[in-house]
Amino acid sequence: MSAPLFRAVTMARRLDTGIMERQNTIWRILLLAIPLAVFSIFIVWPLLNSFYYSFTNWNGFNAEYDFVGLKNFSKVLTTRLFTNAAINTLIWMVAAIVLPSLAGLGLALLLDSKIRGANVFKSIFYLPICLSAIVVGQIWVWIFQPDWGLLNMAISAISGEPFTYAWLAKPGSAIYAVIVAWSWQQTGLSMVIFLAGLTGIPQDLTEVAEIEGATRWQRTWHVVLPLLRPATVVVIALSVINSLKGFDILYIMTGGGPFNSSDTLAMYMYNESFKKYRMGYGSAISVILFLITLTIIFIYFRQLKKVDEIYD
Amino acid sequence: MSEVTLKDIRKSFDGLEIIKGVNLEIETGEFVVFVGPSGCGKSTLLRLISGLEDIGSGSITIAGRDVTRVPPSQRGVSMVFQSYALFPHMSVAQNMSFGLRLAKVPKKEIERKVAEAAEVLQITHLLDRKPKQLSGGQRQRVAIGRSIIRNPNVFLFDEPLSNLDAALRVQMRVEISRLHQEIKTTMIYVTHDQVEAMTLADKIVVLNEGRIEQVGTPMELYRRPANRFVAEFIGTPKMNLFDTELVVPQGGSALVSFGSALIPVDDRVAHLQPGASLSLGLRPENLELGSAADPTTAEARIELVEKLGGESMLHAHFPGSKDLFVVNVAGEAAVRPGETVHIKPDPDACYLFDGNGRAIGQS
Repeated sequence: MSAPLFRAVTMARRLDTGIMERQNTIWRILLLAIPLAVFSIFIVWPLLNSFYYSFTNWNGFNAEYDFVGLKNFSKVLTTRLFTNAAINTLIWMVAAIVLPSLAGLGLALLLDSKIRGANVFKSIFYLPICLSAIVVGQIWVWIFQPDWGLLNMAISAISGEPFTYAWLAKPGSAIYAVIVAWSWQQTGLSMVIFLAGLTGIPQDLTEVAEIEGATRWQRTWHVVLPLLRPATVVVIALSVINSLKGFDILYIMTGGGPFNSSDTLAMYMYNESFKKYRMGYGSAISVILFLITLTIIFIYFRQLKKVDEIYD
Repeated sequence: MSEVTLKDIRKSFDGLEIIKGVNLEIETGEFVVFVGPSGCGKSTLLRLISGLEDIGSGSITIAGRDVTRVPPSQRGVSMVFQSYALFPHMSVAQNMSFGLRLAKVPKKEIERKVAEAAEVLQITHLLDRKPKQLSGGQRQRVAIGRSIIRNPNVFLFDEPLSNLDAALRVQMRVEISRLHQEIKTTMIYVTHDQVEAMTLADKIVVLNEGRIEQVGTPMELYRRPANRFVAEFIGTPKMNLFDTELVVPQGGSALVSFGSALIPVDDRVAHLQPGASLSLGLRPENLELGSAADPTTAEARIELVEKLGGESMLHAHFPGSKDLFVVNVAGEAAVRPGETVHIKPDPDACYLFDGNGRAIGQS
């Protein structure tokens, strides 16, 4: 190839590459713009609005409102109802992390061993997560129904005496009854994540532990559980975030009652904003909830980084 | 006394027999290599010895004790895996002492044993590191260290060098060999790489389709292969095999054809009828370039020349045939692809195999 021709071909190639790169960039921006627009409209904009209204006394209807500064926040943080909701959220969160995580881990360990019909059981245990929280809530409302609910009927049948405890109507048991329903639904999700984690553990590691003299329990404790740490971090993070968002199942089963005994921060925020028409006050609660969630996500990412540092 | 004895071992998976009656005796302190192509059952056999797989039938004895139904941890074996199998959440020292900690050995003794093993393997400076911070070679040393520390009767190695690059593999091969000379414990090593087998083994066990084809020292297998399979498997490049037939001229001695030439063979074919079908085996290093005037040379056409520096591999075929064979010539071969040459075999180094692939004596 002669030198001028070579230069021309090289230039044409560069030109081609330049055009293609520009086209690629336009496509990338276009394709990213769609989810970004959706995210902005439905997440970022309401979030910014919440921040804005948390400094106002807006009632949710009128066009007029006043700026009240940090008054909503100081009120929220000093009211007994907020403390009650915060304690309930903590109970709800801890239970919602511990119960489904432990049950999911147990099921995953059980179903990962070569037992007959494991796939059928996996599907059955995963099924509740496919149902909406409203449906799950309604099922458990029926189960907890004092007169003809499955639970009381079972207790009556076993004890031989009529048992009509109103699980959802008593302040001492309402939130725990909802936690049971929530755990029943969330266990399938934890199980699936732990099963995926177990699949990623090389068989060589458990085999070498076996040769080194580890019993089945020791293999689980010293090898399997530590290697499930990445899955555990995901399960816990999801449980925390889901539990903080937990609203619909509470709304269906107790509505935060009786006597605010099952009120969580999300429930409290809803009641203040939409039932009592105190949108500014409700927004302040939502901002506090947002900051708590953000802190947990921050901790989650730090844990994730630590996990990455250990594992390949 | 034999350290390991395998008696009529059989193993099936889903009705498919993978190990088909293996009998083997391994002496104390011997370095035995199981070698064979992929799927021949060598790793399965190792796992049966370790106890990670239950045997279908037969018996396994280790150090004079029947361990057929004994769990892996009580067989007195340790195993090094291809993947190193190091626990990623434990440091090197914790990995090495895992078994001892489970056995509740006193802390001081664990520390002493870890230090000793680390010294032997030159990994003392790595004891506090996590596996992720180690190179492939270092990881493999740690895995070996974990084995040494348990002081087993038998070391089992399942393709331990396969994940390493070529240079590191050679280095680790030397180190494993040195280690064996130092600790003199029985070692069973699985590999598909016959160079590893030849360089490491006191005794090689060639496996094929779940059966032992031959057991012997590396040079025994190289010089006296029992059959075509072993002949082809041992040696790099592999032995050339040619279909041939026995020719016995009137009053003359027996000959076999090699392309257009005839090679004299000795008394070992005396029991065969003229015209009997045979396979003639010639290693690439036992062929050389000859002259057209020499009646013992056969005409061939060069297809490919591989220049390896110290030697050249000539890939050639006889006229009218498409089957390639390899000639190993010293230095840089002065031939080109497409050129016609004359190949001279060494009649003293030819192997003969009968119709069933069994070796017929040796010239």
